[in-house]
Amino acid sequence: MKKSSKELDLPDVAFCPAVPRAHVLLAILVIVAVGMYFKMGRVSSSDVIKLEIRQSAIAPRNTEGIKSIPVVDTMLLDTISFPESSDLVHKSGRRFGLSKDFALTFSGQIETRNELNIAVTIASDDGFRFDLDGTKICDFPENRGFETTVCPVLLKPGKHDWSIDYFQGGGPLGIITEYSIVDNSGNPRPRKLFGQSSPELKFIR
Amino acid sequence: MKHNEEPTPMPTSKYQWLLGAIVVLALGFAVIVWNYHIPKQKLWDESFYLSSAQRYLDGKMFMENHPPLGKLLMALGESILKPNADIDTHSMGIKDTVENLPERFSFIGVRFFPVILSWLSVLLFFILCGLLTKRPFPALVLTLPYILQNALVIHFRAAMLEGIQIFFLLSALIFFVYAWCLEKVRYRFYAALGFFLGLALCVKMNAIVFLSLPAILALRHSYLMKQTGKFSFRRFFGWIAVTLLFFLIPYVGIWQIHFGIANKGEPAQLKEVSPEYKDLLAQGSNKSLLNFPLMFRDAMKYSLRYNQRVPRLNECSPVENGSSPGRWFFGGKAIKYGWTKQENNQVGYFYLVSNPIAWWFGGVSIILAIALSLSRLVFRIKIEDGQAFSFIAVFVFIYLAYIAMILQMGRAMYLYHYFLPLVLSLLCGAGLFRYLFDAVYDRNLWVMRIALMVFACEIIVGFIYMSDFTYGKPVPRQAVIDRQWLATWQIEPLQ
Repeated sequence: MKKSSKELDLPDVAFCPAVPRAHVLLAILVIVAVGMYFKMGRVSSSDVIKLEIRQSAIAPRNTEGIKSIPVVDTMLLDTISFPESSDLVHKSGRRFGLSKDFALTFSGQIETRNELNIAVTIASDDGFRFDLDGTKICDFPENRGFETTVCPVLLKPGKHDWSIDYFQGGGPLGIITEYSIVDNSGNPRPRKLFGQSSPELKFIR
Repeated sequence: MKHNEEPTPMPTSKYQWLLGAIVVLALGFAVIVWNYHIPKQKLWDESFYLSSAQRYLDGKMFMENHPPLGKLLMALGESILKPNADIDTHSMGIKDTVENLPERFSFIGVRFFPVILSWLSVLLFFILCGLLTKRPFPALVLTLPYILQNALVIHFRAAMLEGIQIFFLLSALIFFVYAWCLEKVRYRFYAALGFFLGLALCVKMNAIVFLSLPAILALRHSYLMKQTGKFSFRRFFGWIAVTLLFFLIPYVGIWQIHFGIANKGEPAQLKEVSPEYKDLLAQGSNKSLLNFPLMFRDAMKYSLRYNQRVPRLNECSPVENGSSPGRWFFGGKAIKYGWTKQENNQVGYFYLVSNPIAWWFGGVSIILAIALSLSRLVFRIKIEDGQAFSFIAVFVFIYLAYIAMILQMGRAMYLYHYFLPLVLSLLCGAGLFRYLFDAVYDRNLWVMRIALMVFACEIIVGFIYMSDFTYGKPVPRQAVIDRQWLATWQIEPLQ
């Protein structure tokens, strides 16, 4: 091959003179394999929320009796974050193939070492009901647009069971649940998505 | 760049190549051919092609967007195997699409040629990888992203056009690559190139960018002959003329078979043709080759009108199956071709969805190939393997030309319109393998072998992971949701 005077000579080893190309290739492929294992192999440790999908011939119109609607699917999630849309799409982009006449029950456990004031903010379309240790904390039992309800909660030290029932009749839908820890002076800290642990509050599966 | 290399010394050991060919054919048979009559339901555009195939069998004149060869082969499979001889299938040819299949309808006939040619295309891909890499084991491993690409497999197992088209294009590419390696110019390679390109364009028009192959080859040979002082324009135009002639033989021939077979005019179809064409049909002159230009003109006009009628892409619409070319690179948007509900309420899906590992291997390859080409063009970097670089540059050129062509189209396009660039990107991967690793392969034999085996395992695992969507196996909702690695795929379970 004729070599022009302008031709640029590159070293024979492209990346690092000490590491042969074949080893670089193998290293890249091993990293890909590890990535595949974590993506395909098992449930992520951040999936701390149990989700039950409920559907029946009779469409739910309020939060009454949601628990009596048969569960058609159960799965795990990391957060309750389904932005307002025409069908149920998690913020991660995962689509659930649900658009009307269904109910969801989110549940799990939270743990705190000290007494803690938190404000749980639930934006939903349509209604919801938030329970802690089997006691209703707050709800919006009827249809509504994508609106927000703030529920103050005083958590005693220890583990607590929580659940959120949600229903969708028709039209747009969505539910986003967040919490913020209220400090000693009564000021709320920045909100986090329900499911994301903080130093004072831990979500457990 | 080197210009006078010896022809690629392909065989290292004939038995190794033979073993590789047997492995790819066996694997291809298992994933593409085995039980291809299942599902016993229409997938995606099969409803169009079943109607067209039935119209050929009934001798009905009709207009359709795509050239005739793919549908003629479907009709041929049906007429040879006759799996539906005891049922009345005429109702399938009444409308442009088949809404309800006759009871007990079997797909063995209409899917036969698409499936068989798709299956044989894996051997062609292996041969191409062999010509590019010159080594049997890397060629075998680099063929896996093609064989085990779920998006291709679901398409190949159905009565659709892409498998047939890719078979002819890979045939053309083999002659192109082989002719490129030869110093002596032979007209028969131009003839073969023209012939297979003619067949590919008889299946789908989007192969038109591959017509640049004979021109590129002629320029290459002209350059070589200029070096030795033997170049003449007569030779150059001779190569082009041979290509054109052998292109036109199948192209005109297949279209003429279409015009000749489809001769019973029906009111709905006759609305689409000119009065002159109607007169030809009335006189029975449609079988005459002399009337070819008129009938061909009407067919092209119809195709143009059809494409203008196809809705524009509306990605905001929840029912839109089309997607923009930018998303194809990542494997979006997946298309639900069909589904079956089982007794236990679980759903089996037939999704056009990628094996992400194989798909992204192509994506990474094309990015590296573009980077290498630009580096040579802009920074004049030294080329280590001129022949491998030439193939990479040609594939990159056709890839970019195809994408540029698609970007000009106003109508909605679909993920499977990326199949041709996908194949080119996988071939770029094979070319890059040779470019980057040929010189060091023997020195690091075991590292290279282990790397190739790891790669093969990743492709196989990726295929198995997505195969529920390829073969319609029932999957729980969680599995469907979890398989959506990227939001752009838009996989979703049924309501």
